[in-house]
Amino acid sequence: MAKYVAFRLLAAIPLLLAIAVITFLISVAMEARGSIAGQVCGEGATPECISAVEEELGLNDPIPVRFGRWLGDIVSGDLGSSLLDQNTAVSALISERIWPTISIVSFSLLIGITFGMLMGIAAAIRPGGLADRTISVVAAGVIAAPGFIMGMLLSWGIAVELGWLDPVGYVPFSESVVGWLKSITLPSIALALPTIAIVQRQLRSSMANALQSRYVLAARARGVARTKLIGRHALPNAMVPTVTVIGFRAAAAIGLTTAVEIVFGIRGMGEMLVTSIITRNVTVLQGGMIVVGLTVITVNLLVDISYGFLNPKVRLSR
Amino acid sequence: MTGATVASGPEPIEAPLESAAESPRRRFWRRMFRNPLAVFSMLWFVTLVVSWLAPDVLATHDPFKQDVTLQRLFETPSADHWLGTDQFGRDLYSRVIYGAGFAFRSIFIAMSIAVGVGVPIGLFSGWKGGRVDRAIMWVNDVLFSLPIVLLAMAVIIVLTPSLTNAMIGVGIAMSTRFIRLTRAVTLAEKEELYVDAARITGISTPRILTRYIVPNLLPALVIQAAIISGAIILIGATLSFLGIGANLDDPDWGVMLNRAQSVFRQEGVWQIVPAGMALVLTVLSFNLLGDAIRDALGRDAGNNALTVTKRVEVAPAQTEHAADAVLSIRDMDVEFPGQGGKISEILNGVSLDVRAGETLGVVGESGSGKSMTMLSALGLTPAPGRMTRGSVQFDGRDVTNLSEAEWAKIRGKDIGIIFQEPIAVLNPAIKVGSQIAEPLRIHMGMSKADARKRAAELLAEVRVPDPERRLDQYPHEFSGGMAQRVGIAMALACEPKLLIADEPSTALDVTVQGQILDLISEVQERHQMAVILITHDLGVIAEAADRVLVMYGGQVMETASAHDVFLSPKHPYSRALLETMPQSHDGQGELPVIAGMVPSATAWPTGCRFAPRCGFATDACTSSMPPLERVADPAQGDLVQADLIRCVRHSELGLVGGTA
Amino acid sequence: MSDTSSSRPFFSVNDLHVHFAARSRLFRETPPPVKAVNGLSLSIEPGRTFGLVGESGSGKSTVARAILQLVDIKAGTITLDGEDVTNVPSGKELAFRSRVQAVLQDPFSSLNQVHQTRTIVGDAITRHFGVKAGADRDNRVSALLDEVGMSPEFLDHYPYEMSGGQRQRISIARALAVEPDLIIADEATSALDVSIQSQVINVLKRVQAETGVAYLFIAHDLEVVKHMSDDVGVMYLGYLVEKGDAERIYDGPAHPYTEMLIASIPMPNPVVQAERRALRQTFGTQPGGGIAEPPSPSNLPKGCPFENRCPVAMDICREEMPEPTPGHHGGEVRCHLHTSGPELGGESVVHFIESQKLSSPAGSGSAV
Repeated sequence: MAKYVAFRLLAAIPLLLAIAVITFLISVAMEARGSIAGQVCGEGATPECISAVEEELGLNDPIPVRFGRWLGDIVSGDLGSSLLDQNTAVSALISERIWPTISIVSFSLLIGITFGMLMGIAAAIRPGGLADRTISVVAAGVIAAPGFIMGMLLSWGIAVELGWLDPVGYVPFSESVVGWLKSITLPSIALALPTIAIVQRQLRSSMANALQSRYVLAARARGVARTKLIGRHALPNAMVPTVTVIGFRAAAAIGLTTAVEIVFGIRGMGEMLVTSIITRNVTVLQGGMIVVGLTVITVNLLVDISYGFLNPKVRLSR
Repeated sequence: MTGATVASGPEPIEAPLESAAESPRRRFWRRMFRNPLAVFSMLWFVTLVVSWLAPDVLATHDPFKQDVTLQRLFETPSADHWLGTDQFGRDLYSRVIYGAGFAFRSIFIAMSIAVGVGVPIGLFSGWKGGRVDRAIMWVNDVLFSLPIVLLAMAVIIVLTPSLTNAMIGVGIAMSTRFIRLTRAVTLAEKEELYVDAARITGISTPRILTRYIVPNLLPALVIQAAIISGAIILIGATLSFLGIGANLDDPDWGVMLNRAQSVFRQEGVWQIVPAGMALVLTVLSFNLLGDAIRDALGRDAGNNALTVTKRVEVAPAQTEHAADAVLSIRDMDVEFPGQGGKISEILNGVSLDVRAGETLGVVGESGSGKSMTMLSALGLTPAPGRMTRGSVQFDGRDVTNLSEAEWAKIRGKDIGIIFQEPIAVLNPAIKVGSQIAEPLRIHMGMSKADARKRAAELLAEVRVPDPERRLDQYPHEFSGGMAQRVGIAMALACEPKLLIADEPSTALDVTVQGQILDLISEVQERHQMAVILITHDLGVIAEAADRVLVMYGGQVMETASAHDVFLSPKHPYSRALLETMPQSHDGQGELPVIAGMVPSATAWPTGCRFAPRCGFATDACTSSMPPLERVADPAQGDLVQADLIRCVRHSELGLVGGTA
Repeated sequence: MSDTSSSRPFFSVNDLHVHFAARSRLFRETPPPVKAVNGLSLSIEPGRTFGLVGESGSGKSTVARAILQLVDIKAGTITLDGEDVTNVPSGKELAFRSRVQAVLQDPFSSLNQVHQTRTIVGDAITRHFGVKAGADRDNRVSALLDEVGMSPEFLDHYPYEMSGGQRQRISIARALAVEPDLIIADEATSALDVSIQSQVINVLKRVQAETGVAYLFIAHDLEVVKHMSDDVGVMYLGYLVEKGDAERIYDGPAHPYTEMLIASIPMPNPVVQAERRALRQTFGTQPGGGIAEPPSPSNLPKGCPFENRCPVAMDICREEMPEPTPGHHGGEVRCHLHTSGPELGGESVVHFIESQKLSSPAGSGSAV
């Protein structure tokens, strides 16, 4: 197992490199449209300003040289500074914005995986039964509703109409644990609802496959009781594709949290990324992408490691 | 043997049967229109398409016309403004109608890129395989795992915000989905023999791809496209909502929600509803459509190994059980509901007895009902099938109507079962030792340590080398022959009174088959069990069975001692089966054949089910179904052994036979 | 072979080797290649049938795929009518395909579900004779259907509307469409029920009698192979361990593995089978009572791969792979018994094994 994990870790290195290349290409593409220096100098930029900025940012060097320099900076933790405000380091900006986002995404995943699995198993036990049909209809509806619509409805219903929680804002964990929890509850639920539905649907279908398998029939023919057939024989095998889907959903949630943050007025990574696009602040976007890329790779790694636990074939063949 | 029972010489030219299967296309549309959710989504699309192509027909106002009179802002639905107005007094209903055009434009742009880029790359990668494939898929997996919203943002910042640019980004991101799907299907189809066959025929590669692979890829592609269309709309709306998609004045659903977002806490939740509902319903109908297409294309799923069909009153059997039999079945019928309320009768009037220390061989071709007989006797009839008549007695106890919980106490303890596919019946995620220990722990109440010790002894008993080490291995580390030994060990674990072996050696090599048969007869002798051996191989039956039951078309055709069935078969089908085997035939001439094919369970012939293929059939055979009759034992003059036969002509034909 | 004396065989495979390289991976040792076929030679004359038998993993299907240009050949040559067809260049592929055709195992997957019979068989006619889809082509397909015992109504049937036996006959019709000289039948009857299998076998034999086509008939069922073939080759783990005249091999196998295979066929007669069972139990069980499994094809021993399952193995069998020596059936056998130990000189091993069994009771089957 340790060997397997070590191998997966090694395999993540080229993945990181690939994300770095994609991210770097954004600035190359933007520059091809003459945007970066123009962005720094602002409206009505003079040619002098442009060439000065290009000199300062090293935009005149050959691309491979710039990539090497840029990569070296990133590895040493320097993500550059904001194009709009040379005094703001992107890394400082991110370290300020990342905590609300991490809080919401992880809390939403926790809710989503827990409830999604429970409901998936409930639906799979009796396909076509009342529980299955009810859950399926609700899940289909929930998947179709984006998190930000759910967020607005929750904010209006729970916060504005009922007054149970604050409709907007984020309280840092260091300030007040209860306040933090209260502030991330609604955004997390909004983001978690589609996750619940997606996990539920996947688990239901892979449970159905596992329950149709010969080994479950054989176990039943050996007198294995119903609860054990579900929990011991079908579930571990059904979890393999479900974990894959959870991984994809985790990555998607990082992107989709953006809109939820806007709804709840939370100044997180998402809000930072949107602003950076509107203001064409490419260094901030690149910094954000690197962080997101790292997170996605971590998620993939966790998924791969769970494969190892769930599927002995994977574990032993490495 | 004489070839009299079967056609000799060139067989007649075969013509298709009347009732050909329903074509997949017809079945598809029948299922689609019977699914209310599919009908709902299709109707919703019609509405959307009209809104897109002719918005003025449906819209009541100019979607851009502002009316900033104070009382005209943030209206709720009224006769003039069916869905109210927004913060500029614009008619929300008309804006929602016009929004359909934006939605379809988004799908069109993103989907063209996603399919146009994704499918060719996927086809290429899957077809090429090897290093090229691995390289492409590696890059694709990197892009695949990045959030789509983020990739779209990267494109937008380069190209400046607009709905078109956003959709270019989404299309590129979504192409990874199509690459994955196309490549997976291509890779799988490439392994199919029909592709080899096409190559052998000399068909060129481009033609194989377009004429052979793509048609098989299409269903999966359509399902994927439906679901991805939903996702495209969702992401497009999200980007517009974030202000980096459609123009902030456009009647785009995402933009409308963006506008609503800043005011709903003050002006009421209604502002979210019109665009929100349009968005959710559209995405929902895409998803429902995808699901409906998949369901309509696929086989009927929904029943699993846990599903127990609701019990019906089982009509009692007409005849007495044999008192000394371990397992005794009388007059068992099993039915499956089919398409359009048609009922398939899978088993009809099956009766059998097996005694302690005796091996009953059950032989028949595929579709004869031999495996179904055993599953149904043990209360394991696969849903939605059910037993509708008959009675089953096990070890002197009537078990016809036992509950699942009562059955669980008998199965695995008093009845052991060995299956055909030895590896598929082992759980891939559980160590072999724990699987063998499972019945010991359940039925014998053994501790974990005791069960493990006993499991090792059992493995040694079935001659698995190095049992201690093998206990900690997983099923995929076993060869087929070794896995079948594990299956036998599991079946024997609780020293059952009855062992049922369903094609135990069919999936194995011929040299391994013999070892498995030896092992079964060895453990039978030691434990004095009753054994039921189900197989299509008459040679296996000849070696292992004391008595033989010949099945055809869901019925018992003949029961007799192995000696009689092989050396003086009374039923024309038994004789024909023996004669068509190459083993029975010396020399190089043509083999005797049984003309025609096994009838389908939805269309049994009237009268004797074998009559259409039988060389001896007369009018009497096709007019009514022959009963399963007892045959008197000429030597003993009584019916002790209860030889049974289902043939109206058996007494006259018996005289013709006698080839021993 | 019975008539290898004639100058040049019509179709021959000489010293064929096929290896499947394992995927090389970063940071890890590349596993050894799977040696699927090791030095196989055979030849077939027009109108005759060479039967190739072996268990799963013996490499018999790989031989078919190598001849059909579906896998890469590591070494060896294949010739057809004096022409080298080991690796057919793409320019000559169509000409090669028009001479060598195949009927594959699985009647469900070897026909494309989306096409009707008229297209499945007709595509081959279009490709090789340039006859476009239409009445003319349909007539030719009908004639082929007639040849395999099916009525013209099957023209507009899809594979899912036909039974396994019918589908397999469509496969035969497709192969016949190009009027080939050689048809490779790879487990062509294995997936069929007994009563249907005999129908397909008869069709194959009738076609051979009418057209003079040669068959390479590959199957795991020895009885079917015996019925079909003039000559037979037996494969074990990529080696052709014995080949020769079919009747004579079955009557007197010169290789212990062939004898084991023949002894393992269950006969549909309880009296006969009771005797055969005792013979069969000579094999497979080791003196200790354990079960010997065949070695992995990616890790073959340096000696004879059958050594660990052989009831009459000698010391030399562990050390080196025997070379082919002439057998009494006009073919060859790869077994040390013929050159070392008892020096049987190509004769049947049946009596030798019987005598060994009598002298060492530990070698017999049921012991526990």
